[in-house]
Amino acid sequence: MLSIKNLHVSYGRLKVLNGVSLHIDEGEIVALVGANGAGKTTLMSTIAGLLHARQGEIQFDNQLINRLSSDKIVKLGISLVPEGRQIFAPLTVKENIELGAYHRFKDRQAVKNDMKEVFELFPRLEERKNQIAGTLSGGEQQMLAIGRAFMARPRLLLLDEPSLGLAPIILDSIMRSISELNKQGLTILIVEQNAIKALDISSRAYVIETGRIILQGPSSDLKEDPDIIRAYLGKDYEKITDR
Amino acid sequence: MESRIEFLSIDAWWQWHTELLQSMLNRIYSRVPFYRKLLDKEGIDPSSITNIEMLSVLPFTTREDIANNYPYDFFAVPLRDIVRIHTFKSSHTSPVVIGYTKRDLENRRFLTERFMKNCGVGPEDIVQICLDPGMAVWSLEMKEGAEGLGALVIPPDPLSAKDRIKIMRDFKSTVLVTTPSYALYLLSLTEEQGLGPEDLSLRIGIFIGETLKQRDRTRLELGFGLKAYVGYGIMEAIGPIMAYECGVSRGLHLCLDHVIPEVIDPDTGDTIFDGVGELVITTATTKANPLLRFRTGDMTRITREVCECGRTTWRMEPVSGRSDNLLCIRGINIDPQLVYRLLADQTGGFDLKALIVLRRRHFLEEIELWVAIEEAIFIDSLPRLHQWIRRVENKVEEYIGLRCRVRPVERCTLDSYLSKGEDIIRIED
Repeated sequence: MLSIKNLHVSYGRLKVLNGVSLHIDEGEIVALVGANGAGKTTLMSTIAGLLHARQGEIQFDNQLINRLSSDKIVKLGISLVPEGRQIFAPLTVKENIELGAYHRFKDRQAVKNDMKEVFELFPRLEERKNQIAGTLSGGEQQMLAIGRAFMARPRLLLLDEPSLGLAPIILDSIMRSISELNKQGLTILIVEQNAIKALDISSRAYVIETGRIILQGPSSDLKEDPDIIRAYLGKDYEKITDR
Repeated sequence: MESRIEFLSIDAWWQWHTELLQSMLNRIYSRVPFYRKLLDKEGIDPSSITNIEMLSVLPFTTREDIANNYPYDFFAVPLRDIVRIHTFKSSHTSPVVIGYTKRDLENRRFLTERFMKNCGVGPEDIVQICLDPGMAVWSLEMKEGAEGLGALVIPPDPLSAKDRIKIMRDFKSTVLVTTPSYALYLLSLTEEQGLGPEDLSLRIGIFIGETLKQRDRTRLELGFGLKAYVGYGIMEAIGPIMAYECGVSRGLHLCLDHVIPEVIDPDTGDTIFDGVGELVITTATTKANPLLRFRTGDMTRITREVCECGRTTWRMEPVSGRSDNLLCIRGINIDPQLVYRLLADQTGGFDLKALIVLRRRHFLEEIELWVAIEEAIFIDSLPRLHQWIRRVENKVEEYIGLRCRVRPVERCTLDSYLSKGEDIIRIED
């Protein structure tokens, strides 16, 4: 469904992604894990069209999307839940959700049906539908951000650090909802610093370190990989015989 | 079980291999001192490798490289992550050492299980493994693969061939794991005893370590009443089942989910896309000891056509020879220079003329060392001469894992071969 070949992305002269290649098949949940500053959010932003790569290709359903604007990418079926939620704080919950379907607002009945689905997935949002979004808790804002992205009717959902700032019990609930969305046929790319949570719900994962993919494989294998632990604790070994 | 990955499309394999190669290069560049030096020396930045076709610009790795970087410079993980180390004798000053993480061992077991399951091995089977001590590592892996499938396993024990046949009959072994030459030897013994397929319970033959010729396959299948399957592997990576036959038996499917194979001209190093050449492999999933473009020395051809079984994994033809001077005897690779060096150690460095003779007797190849009678080793006491001979034989067996018979011969006998440039003779008894 999505294939990325040799992506190089820079912020000015600062190279952040250095030849990244990965792919996602339809129906999968794929995780991208890595420490702070590894390039995860940059990759998500590039897929979503918010940044443009200097080199490399992104193909979605065999169509090159590198140079497309973000609104065109949304229309193709890719929706981003950005890092830090970035909901529209002065608007109500309902207005935030409606805005997620902005590019297809003419199809009112479909939009109404989809909103109903979002409320079924996140009943708490329905309870607070007329509440100002900025007054929601962190977990509720995350639900809102996911619901808003879902309204775009994506085939591929990009989740950037959904666990950020959330209590474990809320995070578990969010992760269950993400799994539920996947079971309904949504393909998901999830980027997370909380590697264990991401590896728990995904089937495959990639590990990124300073802008390069250094490891990939089934999530069940990577969960036990010492490299993941070292990457996250920022530990490296000085000598081969370090024990 | 046929895992989905063996049926990927061409485009999907291209993407998969590009990803695996890139991440492998990133890992080895930052973690393996040998590869960092090598890639820097060649002026290659890992991020410049944009697709799998660029594999051909990368440098090769040889057995000599591994031996020369003993003990740690080939490891990509710290010693604490390594749970097993295999050591192989080499003709170089240091042994070849290969390390494995827990994940590496699980991958090897998975590949062995996948092959055996493909052959039809299951919990109802009794798997009898008959491999020489020199193949101890692979014996262990085949044992683990079979046990993983729930089969009853009879691992190799120091029994005679006749006793092994007795066990085969009494315990009704259904699967035989061995080399083709040993299987032919066992078959000849069963025929001597007047036994036919109806007297045995074998239904599957798994043959590794040597090429199985078509006429031998027919003989074994008819003689034992089994279906033959062939596996291929190398000692340095992946395990005994880097490639395996499916039920169609037209070539061996390479495990593309774990290796990236190619064929090269052994003299020029150029990649060959359609033709016989030396098999070169790049490990894609190995953590402890990744190998970049490792020259196996085995000559073969790779076909990329889809198999009748539906698998899209490339197939290699049976190995047709070697590009180097290693001898493959009963599944064990032997460097002749190692044998000559062991001999020189026993003569205090005296340059003794010697010749390796491979004698094929009852389908089994045996190694002999013909040594010229020289004053340096001419001992004026027969018992002492025999002692010296036993010492050399034991030393060679200790190193190569196969019995070796040392025969003192007249110098002129050796000269008649050496003068023709022959340093290895094959005799068929």
